[in-house]
Amino acid sequence: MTGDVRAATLDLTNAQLIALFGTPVEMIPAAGAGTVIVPIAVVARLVRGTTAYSASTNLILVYATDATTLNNTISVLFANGPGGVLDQLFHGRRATTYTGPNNFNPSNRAVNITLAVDINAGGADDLLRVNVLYEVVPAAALGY
Amino acid sequence: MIVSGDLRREAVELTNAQLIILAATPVEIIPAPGAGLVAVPLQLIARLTRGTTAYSANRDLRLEYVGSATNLIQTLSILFADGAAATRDQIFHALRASSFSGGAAFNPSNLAIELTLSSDINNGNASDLLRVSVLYEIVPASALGY
Repeated sequence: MTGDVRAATLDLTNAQLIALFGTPVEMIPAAGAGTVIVPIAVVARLVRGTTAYSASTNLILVYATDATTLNNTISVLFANGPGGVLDQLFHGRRATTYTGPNNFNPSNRAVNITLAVDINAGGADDLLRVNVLYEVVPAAALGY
Repeated sequence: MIVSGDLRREAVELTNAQLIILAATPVEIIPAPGAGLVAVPLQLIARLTRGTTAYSANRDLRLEYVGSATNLIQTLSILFADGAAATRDQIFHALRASSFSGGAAFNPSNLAIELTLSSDINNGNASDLLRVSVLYEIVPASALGY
């Protein structure tokens, strides 16, 4: 069988970033009935003006309705270099392992992006651009 | 040079009868890819559906080249023994191992890859299933000089 590997991209604005901890954003849309999404790799670029954020924090991928992190630790340096602009690239990959909760069915679920802690400040023109490479696994292979 | 990667996926279902002997009797999940080719796993997803009788222990699921005892994926504990006396339906992901070092003079070309467990388990239920799907790359062996 051929592997089905796809990519999704997303631009997060300053307004979305300062709300992202409490309001995750859909990063990968649900791939349809009979499919399970499994992330492979993450690339992110932070383009920030001179106003730093309140903290650097980790970028997190989760299945919709589940809180278990799907990727390894990627600290995005939102707070670095205060008073100077920042244009910085980050790579991450999927978590070494993921164990879902008992009775959690990941089929036809979106993958959301969020942060580990709340941040504030930054500039109105800031962007966090994220690209995720992921596999689409037929749910039938898992008996769903 | 732009080379399009050759990514493939295989899946198997392991029954209770297979699970309780899997440590000693591995099951093929990726067939030998053919002369001049090397299979390299990228990631794995597994689902355990279990009845109310727990297994004797949680065990690590392993991928190994036939003839090699080196694990190709990260340590992945399948929770066979958790939630005793209750049913389980649980999903697990694992990434390929951080690194793999084959033994001296080990040639991985045209080798199948097998599923096994880190150690024996017993018990469980006749209707239990462990379903496993593996994404893997096919690398031309000539790129490695085999």
